[in-house]
Amino acid sequence: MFLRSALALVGVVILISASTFSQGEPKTSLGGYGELHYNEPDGHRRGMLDFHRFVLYLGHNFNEKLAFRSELEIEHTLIEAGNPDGGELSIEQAFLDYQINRSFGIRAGIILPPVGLINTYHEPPTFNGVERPSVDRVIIPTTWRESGAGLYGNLVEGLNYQLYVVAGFRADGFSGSNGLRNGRQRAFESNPANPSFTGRLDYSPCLGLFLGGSFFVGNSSADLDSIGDAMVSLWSGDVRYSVDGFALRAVGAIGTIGDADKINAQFNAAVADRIYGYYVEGSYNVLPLLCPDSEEELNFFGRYEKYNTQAATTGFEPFKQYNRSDIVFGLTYKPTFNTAFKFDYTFMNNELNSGSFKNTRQLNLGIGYYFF
Amino acid sequence: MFLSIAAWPDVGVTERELDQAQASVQRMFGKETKAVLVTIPLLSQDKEAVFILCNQRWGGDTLVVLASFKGNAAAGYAVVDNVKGKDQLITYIVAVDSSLVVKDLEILAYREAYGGEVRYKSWQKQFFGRRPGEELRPGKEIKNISGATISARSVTFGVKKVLSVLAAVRDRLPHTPLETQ
Repeated sequence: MFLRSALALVGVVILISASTFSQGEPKTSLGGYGELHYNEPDGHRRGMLDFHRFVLYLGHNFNEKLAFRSELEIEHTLIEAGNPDGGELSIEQAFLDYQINRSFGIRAGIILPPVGLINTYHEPPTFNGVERPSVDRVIIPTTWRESGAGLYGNLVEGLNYQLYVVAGFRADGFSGSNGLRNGRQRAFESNPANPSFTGRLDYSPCLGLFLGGSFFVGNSSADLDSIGDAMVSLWSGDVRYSVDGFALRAVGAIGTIGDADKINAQFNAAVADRIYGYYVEGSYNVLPLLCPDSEEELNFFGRYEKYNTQAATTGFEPFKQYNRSDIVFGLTYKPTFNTAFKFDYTFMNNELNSGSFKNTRQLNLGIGYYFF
Repeated sequence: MFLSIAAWPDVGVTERELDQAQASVQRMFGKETKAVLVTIPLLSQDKEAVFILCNQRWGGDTLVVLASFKGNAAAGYAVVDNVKGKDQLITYIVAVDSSLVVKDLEILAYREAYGGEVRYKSWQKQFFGRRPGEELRPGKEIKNISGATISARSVTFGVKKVLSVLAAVRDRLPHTPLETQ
């Protein structure tokens, strides 16, 4: 009898000590990333220094399965009443994750449509070049966030999926020069009239090789009957491969805009039926050649981008200035995996190349960091 | 079972993870093996040795080892540990053979929103055959995972730390089931 009580007591004591420990696990965590840019057009005109992004990350774990993640962003450092040239303060992500098991989780809140690479992985030291690739700005409208909900998980070894329903685009923001970009609702008083589907499959067949396929499909009429459904679809594929200091990444995206003629009749914005873009980037870390023991990186890279926001049009000839290509050369010095000093020289060309659409060049310097 | 959990206070392993760990160890060393939970106290000189070997501190005052025996001989040892990923703990188990060469690695719990690629065997296989004292650097001996840099780094440092603590107590690891009683 005594022994049994003693054992029960030991059990209680041990249970308490186990639960005391679990309270010591990290519950709320803080982190962030940011990037400071210097851009000098044409190589000899005066440039501009800009703390482009300053982002605070806040996460909290309610229990083993339920977690909150968020990113609060200040763009261009300054937000001031009455100053239209100032920056912006925005919630870039804020969602709840309920991970039921490895292959099935529910996510809801302000989420990033997982199209292309940069929209999901945008911490500055994770990509080469001071500015994000043009394809990830003009064709895939990064940073792209919308309110929504969906599922995510890992199906088999190497295969992950994400599938969400989010608020759609608004066609009144589309344009010939910027494609879908200004049609994002950015989770700001979103019109839910056009729920859209977006998703992504990630597959890693072997070490160092990652393949991705992603899409976004939905109407963009936002209750405006005169422009029909204005259905938008955006499809993207991406490849990342790295071996022995060499890294390759390539992204391609193609978008279609339904009822573009009706959108143009209403808004006169030279919206195209089809847009597309792709880029290929190679980089090589030369530091192991100079000092084999160093864990720092010095990556030389080159990137070719081709993007056209008027690849096919109805009722008017495509504008040649929107058929563009960029060539970027540069280097990224990474003293640690999460800090980067960047330099690049960018040639921005377009098919028209005259008047205010002359081909230009730009020198870019930047620093970037992230920590969690 | 309660005792087992209490024996693992330093890494906060839950009962479910312990069950998982025991199943993993059976799978790693074979059906005919039997695993016994052994707690080895860590002296200050052990901790110092760990720090010298891997430049990291071992959190607790004990090391809990799942010692696997095939008959009367040690088949190997496994250690469960947590490392911090982007903002969540990653619970993993490292198994070594009786001469402390890495035999297997498994992620018992991954809680981050992204970066689950550390669960891929193709990445984990890079650790197999590694020994205590060997260089194990992310981006060097162990390849990083693009898009999962933080978790890949954390697990790499974690394995290095586990190998170092096993090396520090090498002489006190049980070689027969009798030594565990």
